Amino acid sequence: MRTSLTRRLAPPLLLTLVLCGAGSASAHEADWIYFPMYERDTAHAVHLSALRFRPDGLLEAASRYPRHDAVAWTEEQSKAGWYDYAKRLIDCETGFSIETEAQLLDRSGKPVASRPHELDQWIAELGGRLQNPTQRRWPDNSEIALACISASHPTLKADRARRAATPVPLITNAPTTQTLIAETTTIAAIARRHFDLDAIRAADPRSAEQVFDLLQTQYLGWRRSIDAAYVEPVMPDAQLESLRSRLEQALKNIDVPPNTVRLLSAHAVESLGPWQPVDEATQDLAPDATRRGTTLRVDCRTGLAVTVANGWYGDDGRLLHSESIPAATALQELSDRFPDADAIEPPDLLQRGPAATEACQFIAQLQTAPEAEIGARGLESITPDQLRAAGTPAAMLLLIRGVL
Amino acid sequence: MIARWVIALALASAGLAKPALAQEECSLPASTNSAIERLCAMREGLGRFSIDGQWGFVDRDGRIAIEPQFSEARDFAEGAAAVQRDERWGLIDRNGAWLIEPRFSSLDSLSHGLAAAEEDGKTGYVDRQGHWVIEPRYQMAGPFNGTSAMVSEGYLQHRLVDRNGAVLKQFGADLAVSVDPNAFGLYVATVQGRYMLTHRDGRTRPHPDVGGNALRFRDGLTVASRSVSRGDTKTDLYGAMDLDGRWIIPAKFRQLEPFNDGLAVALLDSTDESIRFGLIDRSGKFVVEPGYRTLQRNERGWYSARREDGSEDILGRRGERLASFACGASREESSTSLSDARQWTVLRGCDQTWVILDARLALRSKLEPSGVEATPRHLLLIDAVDSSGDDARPPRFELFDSTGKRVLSDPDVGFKSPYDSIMLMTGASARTAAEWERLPLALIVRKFETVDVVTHRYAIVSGDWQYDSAINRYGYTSVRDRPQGPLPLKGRAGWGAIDADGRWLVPPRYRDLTRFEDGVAFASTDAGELIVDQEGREYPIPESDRRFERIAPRVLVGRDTDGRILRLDLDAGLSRSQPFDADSRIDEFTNGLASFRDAGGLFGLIDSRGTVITPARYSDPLEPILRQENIRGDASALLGWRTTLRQTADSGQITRHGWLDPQGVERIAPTFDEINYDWTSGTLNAKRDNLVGIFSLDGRVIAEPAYSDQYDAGEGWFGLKTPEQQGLLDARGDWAVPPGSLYLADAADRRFRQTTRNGETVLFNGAGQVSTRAKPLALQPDDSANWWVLAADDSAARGTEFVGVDFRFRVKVSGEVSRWEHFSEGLIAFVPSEPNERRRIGLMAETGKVLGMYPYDSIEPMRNGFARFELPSGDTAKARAAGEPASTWGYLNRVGKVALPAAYAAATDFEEERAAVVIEGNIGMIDTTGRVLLRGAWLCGRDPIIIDASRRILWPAAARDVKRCE
Repeated sequence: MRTSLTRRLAPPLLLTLVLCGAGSASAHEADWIYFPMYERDTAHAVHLSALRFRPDGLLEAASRYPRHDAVAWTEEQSKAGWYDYAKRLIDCETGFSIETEAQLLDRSGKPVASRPHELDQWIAELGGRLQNPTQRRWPDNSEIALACISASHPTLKADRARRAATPVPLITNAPTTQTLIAETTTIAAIARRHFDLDAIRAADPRSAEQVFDLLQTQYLGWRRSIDAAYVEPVMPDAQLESLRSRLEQALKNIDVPPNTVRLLSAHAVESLGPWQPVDEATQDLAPDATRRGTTLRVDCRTGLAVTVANGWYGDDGRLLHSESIPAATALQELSDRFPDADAIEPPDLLQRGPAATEACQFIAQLQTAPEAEIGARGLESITPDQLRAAGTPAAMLLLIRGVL
Repeated sequence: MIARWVIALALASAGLAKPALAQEECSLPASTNSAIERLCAMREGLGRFSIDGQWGFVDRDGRIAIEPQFSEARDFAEGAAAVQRDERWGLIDRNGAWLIEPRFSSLDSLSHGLAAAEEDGKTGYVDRQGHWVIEPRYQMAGPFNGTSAMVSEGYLQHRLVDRNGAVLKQFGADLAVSVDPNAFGLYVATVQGRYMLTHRDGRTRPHPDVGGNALRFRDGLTVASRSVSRGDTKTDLYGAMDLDGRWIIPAKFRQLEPFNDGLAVALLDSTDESIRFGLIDRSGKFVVEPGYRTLQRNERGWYSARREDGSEDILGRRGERLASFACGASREESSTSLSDARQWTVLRGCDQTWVILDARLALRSKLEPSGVEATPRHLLLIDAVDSSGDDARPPRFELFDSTGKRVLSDPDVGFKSPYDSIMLMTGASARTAAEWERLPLALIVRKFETVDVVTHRYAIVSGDWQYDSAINRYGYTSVRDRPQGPLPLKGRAGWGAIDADGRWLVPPRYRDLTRFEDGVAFASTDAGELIVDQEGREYPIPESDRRFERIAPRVLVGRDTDGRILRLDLDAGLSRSQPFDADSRIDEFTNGLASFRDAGGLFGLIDSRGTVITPARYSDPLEPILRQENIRGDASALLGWRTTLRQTADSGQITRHGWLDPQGVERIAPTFDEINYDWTSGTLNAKRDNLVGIFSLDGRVIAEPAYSDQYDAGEGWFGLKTPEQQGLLDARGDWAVPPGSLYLADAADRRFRQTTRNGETVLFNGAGQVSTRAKPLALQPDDSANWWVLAADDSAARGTEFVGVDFRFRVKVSGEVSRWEHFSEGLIAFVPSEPNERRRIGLMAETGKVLGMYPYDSIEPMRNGFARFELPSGDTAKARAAGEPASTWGYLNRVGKVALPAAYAAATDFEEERAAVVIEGNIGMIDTTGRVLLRGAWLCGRDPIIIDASRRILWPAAARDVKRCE
């Protein structure tokens, strides 16, 4: 009488972990990032060793599923198959993906059949998401995000390889997968945590400006934790200067007084907050001052703003006295605003940023102006013909990235 | 597809989520990571278990008797077990050898040597060798019950067959029978309910077979259908039946709407697409030829009939064409005032305006109305005016009377300014003509400065009246807000009130004047408030700081500081009632009566003199039921009073309702679970023990509360459904318990269950035994498992009394026991009246002796000599965080001593001296000494295995060769 265990214990007696190239569906537990959908589910999993960033920044990935009827196999193949296995190409910058090949695996993880996906399937798959804005958010809580985070994780593959090499007791009370499944929560949480005030505090910043810089660095780190291939776009000085002058003009057009907004980078501004009366406690600092204003630095991608200075001004708008905000004060202000940093919804990278200020809104508009033809139309405007013309999954995904 | 793959992250945090499988058969809580997935109770010395998705069997010693290899398995019975492999069922013996190779799509356990087996969608019976003893021909087949079995050949086609398949008894289509016998070998049989008709005058008739349509009589006819064959398919054709179920119009239409005014919308049965909708009369003949693509009756009685080309005809209630819109469909001008004057409809379309009156007359208007106002007698159309533009002009209007005559229009009143307007005195349709005519027909407002009056003879009367926005409330009124005459208007000398012809009835001398209700209004003068009647007589308000409430024509009431009722009768003067107790409560008066609470806390009705009309004997305030909501002030709106009585019964407190007429006379005693007024039929629906009856408002019985369902069938008829009745059939197909009102399907085991019948507690069991206080049943032996809790509100403090099936006292437990709990093997757990950490729960014998007090969360019923108990962890949160169970389970013995300490995360009852438990996250099997006979574990953290207490591998054999993990 043969059981599944006796089948699996047939020589070679036990399989060793194979963390090799994509396409190999190794059976070893540590080679999978599990995302259970029901009790005792160990079938749903992202294949760790299949994750590989390509030179164009796209991610080759694969995931395993319990058998379902979406793909038709022959009766013989179906009988031998235990799992479905989907290979796909993912753009971790946008979250769009295309399934490139469907496989059927036996219980040991060996492929028993495969079928490449066709052009029409790619177009149908992408078309559905492009036309349905409610299905679009990035990063989300799908296995696509899990694949991106896992592939971008600096130590995950090594950790898992180490774990695979660690001897396991002969008899245990729980399966190894139990610990591995628990790890998924920690891995998936990376997509949610986009800034960490404790870490900034630990870095002992010297000024509020440095707090702002560290927040921006954290944002970049968060982007790379989802997409290790992400490269922050650099705006050449000439282009930045052009943007600066166009921004000044745009603000002038709506009667914003000059020198109240300063462009720091393609995605950050410094602006003067609303006027306030001078209070008695600070009257001595600038006896001629009639009003007071705060200077804010704003990250247009996240909407996060840090107060960096207080200024006392005369009637004519002349700055009579200014004081920098200490780093500790800026941090305290952030803590007060965000008592639970983890609870802050991370930015949706498919949207054009939270546009916290008018200046940020102008920047977004001015930057997309040269690409108005595509950018103004949005993702819904991409047609099946455009996708068909792109021809390959990679070209299609890069076409979508270009529109965003 | 990606949306389907959204990660259930909650599941990833293992141990936090309640295991979904815990609800499944033979699974245990806290065993998410157990190698053994399920372990069932021992049957005939073998227990089913599943591991790695496969089912096998273990014996009492913990040996793997039959290797796990089946995708499904049933318990052993008569030395064999049905198992499934490759989606086919077969039968194995105790050694796992095939008695019947897998070949059936379903196979039940053996019963009296035969097992029901399904092949090609039909079920028959096979013997233990797999030979068909009764060929497969049934839709359902139950287990053999001695020498017979219950089968079904189709819906409501039940048969009792013998071992040769011969039909012993055939049951009619009115009887639904369970194919599985209960614990006593009896079958629950349900006699289906039937509909009948009863009229509010007492006549009854059989319910005609209308083919499943909702029966609704109009003009003495109801739509009915019959099914006809069209080749391979069946289709329904519609006709009309009379009360006796005779086809008055044969079923020949593809669609037929209910009759109204002798006509019905009908669609001929034809495949010809050009055949359309038309109107038929009561003889079935078309009076409007079927030429319309759609034909719909408006609730106001006219029809909208649209042709294929989009044009629309408006047909009158007799089918005559009233108006046509050749260019397309019309739209209806709506106005809230039209809802009170339903005979008017204003339709616009194709640059035309049509006024439809009473679905019989169509009037064409030259206006494009922007406003519509209507009373039952008049319709006012006002056209659009933009008073702010350069082309501003006076508004235009047309006023029609109920004969369709245009009686007044803007030239008649000499509008000059865009700010001139006309306002119809609208109101509720229920008003009498006399009331109506106390107000002018309409008001002409000129430049929002002065007001003229339009009399009912269409004369324009100019007086010295000034415009005030208060008069607008006479133009836009709700049902509750019904305006009455005379009309308060402001003259130069102050406010007064005029009659319908513009004459002062109340001279203009007040600073302010409210609207008149029942001929009375409140007026303000510089000296204070007073009451004025419609003849202009003045009455002082006795205590002006008290709020007075009008309760009847010319009668107002208030309360003074002593709790007396102040009653001001404008004709008889002021009177004061006797003082009421400080705790007494008097609700709002309705139709001259109000609910009050007496010193004893009970409720009754008093009148405005403080006289008790209905003595206080009810538990809750009496609830006035009105014809329509929010018209409390209208005496004719009061239908009666709903009463409430709360009583203590065997099962706890129960609430009963009754009914008083508007004068406070009890018409229905408070004996019903519910009493509700049915707005459609104007009757009372009263429900008791889930059976509904119908009563008239004066308490006359139209239908006794003996029906499971009722509906208003129209024209005074009600459809009534007799309740289902359940009885028990024995293995010969005879009534062991004849059909009755008890729901026996719940009673499968021996313990008596409790229900109420006519408010009386009834105990019954699956053998059909019944006991009531009037006819108590004396059981021998007197098994304490049958004793039941006599409910009491304060059982936690006073203790819980148990009585026997004979309703006599047995024993008192010194603490609280849920009314659903029963003695089990002579013992019962209870919560003491003053529990503490060490004495949270107790165990008591049927003799009344307390066996022990324990710090446990719960003690489960004693089974086979053991009672499971749950011991809470010291720190639940800490335990959860450490991945440990929040509580552990152990076993007490019959004398209340700990037989097995709390060492298990979950545990089952003992069966055949074996129990399933969870040890270190794995399901295992123990004997009554607590010895672990087997348990699940994992080999190299990967493969599920079974080990014994010494961690020797019991299964699979190949795993014993593995010495280390790579």
